[in-house]
Amino acid sequence: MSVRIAAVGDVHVGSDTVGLLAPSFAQLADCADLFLLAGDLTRVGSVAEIDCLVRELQDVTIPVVAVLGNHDLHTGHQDAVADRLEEAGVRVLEGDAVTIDVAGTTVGVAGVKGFGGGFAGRCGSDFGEPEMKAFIAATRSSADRLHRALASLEADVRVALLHYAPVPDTLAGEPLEIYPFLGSYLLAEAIDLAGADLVLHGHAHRGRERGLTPGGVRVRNVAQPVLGAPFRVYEVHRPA
Amino acid sequence: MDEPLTYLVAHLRDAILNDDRFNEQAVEVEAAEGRIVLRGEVATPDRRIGIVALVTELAPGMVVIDDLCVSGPLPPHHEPEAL
Repeated sequence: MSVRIAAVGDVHVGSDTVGLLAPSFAQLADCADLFLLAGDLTRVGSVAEIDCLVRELQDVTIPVVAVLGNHDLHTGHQDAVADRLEEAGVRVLEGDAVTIDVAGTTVGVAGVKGFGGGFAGRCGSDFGEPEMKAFIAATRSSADRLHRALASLEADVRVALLHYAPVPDTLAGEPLEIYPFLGSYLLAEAIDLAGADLVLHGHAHRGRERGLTPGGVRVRNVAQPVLGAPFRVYEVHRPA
Repeated sequence: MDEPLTYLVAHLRDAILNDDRFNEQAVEVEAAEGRIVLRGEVATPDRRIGIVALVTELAPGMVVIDDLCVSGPLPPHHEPEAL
C-alpha cells in the first residue's frame, strides 16, 4: 500500500499574491491523496489574508490539513484564522490529530506549530529568568502535545506536521546563530518516542529539504523557497 | 556620528519585516563601504520595488543594490519522492 502526500509551507499569501498558487493547487488531485500545509500561510495572520488562501484552495478536491506558523500568529487573530480555514474545509491542527482514509489506507496526521529553543548540546534551558523559562516551557508543551497526538493515532501511515524544525539537518544553509529560533530537538525527541513515518515542517527558508531525526524518521523541510515549487509530493510505501 | 553599519542592517531588517506591505523575514541585507546589498526571494514585483524604496528612504546616502528576485508562479514537482 502507498499514499501520496503533497506538502508545502511558508506560502505567505497576501492580497498582492492572489492567483499565483491556484493553478498549481488545482492539479493536486492528479498527483496526491492529501495536502498538508506546514504553517506561515499568511504574512501577518489576518482574516483577509486567509480568505486569499481559501480562494487559492477553492479548486482543491483532496483533503487539506494545516498547522499555523509564527507569521499566522503575528496579529493575534489565530483563532479566527483557524475558524475560517475550518469553514473552508481545511482541518487545522494544534496539539491534536486527524485520520484520513485514502482508498483503504489510513493516514494519521498529528500537528503542532512547535517553537524554538535549539538543538541538543546548543540549546536553551528552562533555567534562570522567568522569560527564559517561559520560552523553553512553550516548546516543551508543544513537544508534549505532539507526542500525545502522535501516540493517539492508530493509522497505517503516521505523519507529524509542524512549522518549526525538529532537527538541524534541514536548517543547513541558515546562519548557525539563528538555529535556536528555527526549531528544537524536543520536537524530534517527541516524534522518536511516539514513532512516525514522515515529518514535515517549514519555517527555514534558506534550509534544505531532507533530514532525519536521531531515531531515523525522515524529515522534510517543505518551505516553499526551499522546494522552489508550489508543493512537493512524497509517496509513502507500507507493506500491505 | 553615523550609525554603525551593524545596527543599520538590524534596523533595516526589522523595517522590512514590520512593514505591512511586505512582512518579509527572508530578505538578506548586507552593508559595507557605502553600499547596501539586498538579496533573497520575494513573491511579487511590487514587493521588490517597495522594499528597495523603503531601504533607500531609511538609508540616505547609501547606494542600494537590488539583487532580489521574484519567485512568481512555480511549476509543481509532479514526480513524487518514494519513501
